[in-house]
Amino acid sequence: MQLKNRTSTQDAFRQFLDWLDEGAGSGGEKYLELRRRLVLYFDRRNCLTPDELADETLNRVAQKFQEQGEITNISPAQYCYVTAKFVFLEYTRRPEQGNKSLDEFPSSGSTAAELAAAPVNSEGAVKERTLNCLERCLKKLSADESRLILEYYQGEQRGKIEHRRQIAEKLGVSANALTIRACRIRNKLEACVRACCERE
Amino acid sequence: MQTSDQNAYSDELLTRYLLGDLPADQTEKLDELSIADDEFAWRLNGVENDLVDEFVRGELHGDNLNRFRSFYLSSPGRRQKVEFAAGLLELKNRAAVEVERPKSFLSRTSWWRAPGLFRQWSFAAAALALLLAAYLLTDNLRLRHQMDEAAANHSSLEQELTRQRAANAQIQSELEHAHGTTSVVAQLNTVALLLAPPTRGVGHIETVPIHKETDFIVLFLALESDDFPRYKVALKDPSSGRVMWQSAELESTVVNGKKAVSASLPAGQLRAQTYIAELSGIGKAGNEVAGSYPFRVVLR
Repeated sequence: MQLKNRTSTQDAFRQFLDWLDEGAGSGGEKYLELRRRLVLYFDRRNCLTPDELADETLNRVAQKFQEQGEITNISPAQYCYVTAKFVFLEYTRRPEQGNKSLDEFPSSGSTAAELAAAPVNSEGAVKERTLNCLERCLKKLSADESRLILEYYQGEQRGKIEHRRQIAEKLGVSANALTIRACRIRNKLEACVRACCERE
Repeated sequence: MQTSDQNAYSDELLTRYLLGDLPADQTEKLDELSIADDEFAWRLNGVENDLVDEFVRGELHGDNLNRFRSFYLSSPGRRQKVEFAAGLLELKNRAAVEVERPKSFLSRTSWWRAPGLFRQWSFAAAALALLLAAYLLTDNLRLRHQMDEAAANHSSLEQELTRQRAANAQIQSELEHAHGTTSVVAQLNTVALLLAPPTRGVGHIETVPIHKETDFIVLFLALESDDFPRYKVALKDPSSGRVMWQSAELESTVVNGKKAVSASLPAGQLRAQTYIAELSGIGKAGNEVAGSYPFRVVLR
């Protein structure tokens, strides 16, 4: 946890998590979800280090919360957004950044598209590694979760809407609830695959 | 915050947002919702997943495809999502051709036999899997053959790759014609550049022409000696020394009978200037610079 340098006690951090939860008692899930959203925000802004900036945002929010004991008149998530905007502004003013963004200086890991384009011998190995990790991570999901993730993302364009409607009907949930459930599983799976690929 | 009205933001608008195609004021509003509004955040998450899946399936066209390639693929994090989606698609295709498969949510007893949606999807997925397998096999054999030929004839790698791309496009075109589908490969244009091992002093600087349709530059960095199990390539601006792009960890490969490290980098946003591709070897003791390869980009 990046907060260790700035929060002095476990209790303070627990209080911070409680505040983020707004009484929901998510056991840290809300923190992780907000962090995920902040990473995506900085990524969409084409920052080079979205994870670092998301941690910086949460550190600042935690520090403010610790200093003040409470933050009122604004929801925790909204306060995080306001803080993130400042972090982003400061990021763009960093001398080493200049006007740099990923639009100008694209970076890359190995992607399906890139691998498809690059006639290199390691192409198959990287693809195989991703597939191995995917299979391994799918096994970590519950049977229902892995079945849902494979079925939810089946179908193309118009067909998938009807397909998903049928799944939602069968499960007895709304379309929105099904989308959230599928996204949660996919996010979990993606995080697992990313960690697995980095390890190997 | 639970205030977003689902109807206020169409999927098309969210797609434009994800592709960086909205005006600043709208972008800022959606930025806020993407963090502070649970309902909106999940919906955006869903639209993004579908968008990435559409790209991987070759279902994106026109402006959205162009924006996806120039904007969405420019971020390592987003490119990882694409890689993940491609893996998921392949896994599903493999599963679809297996006779034994887990029971579906929609029917736990008679899906496989029931005429209807599942069977249609299964046939479609199986056809896609066969198409993919056939293409990969053909492509693999063709690449091997051409690489052998190149080594035997000592012809230049760039000429060889140009021929390869033409053949690739032709095969892809034939496949598209035959099956009415497109693939990720068909959407990409690459330029290859072979850079000789660096020498002391001022030498000739290779030039790579980039057209506006070029998606990736494939750099082949020839090695004097292959001393490391893995390598990394960093693209540097020589005037500032700034690292502008960095590859993942790479292994050396054999090109034209010689050891080389290849790296593909997105070409669309490169400027007309000189760059340095710095090759670092990753050893047990840490990273070590293995060579600096200057090259010049010319925009056509």
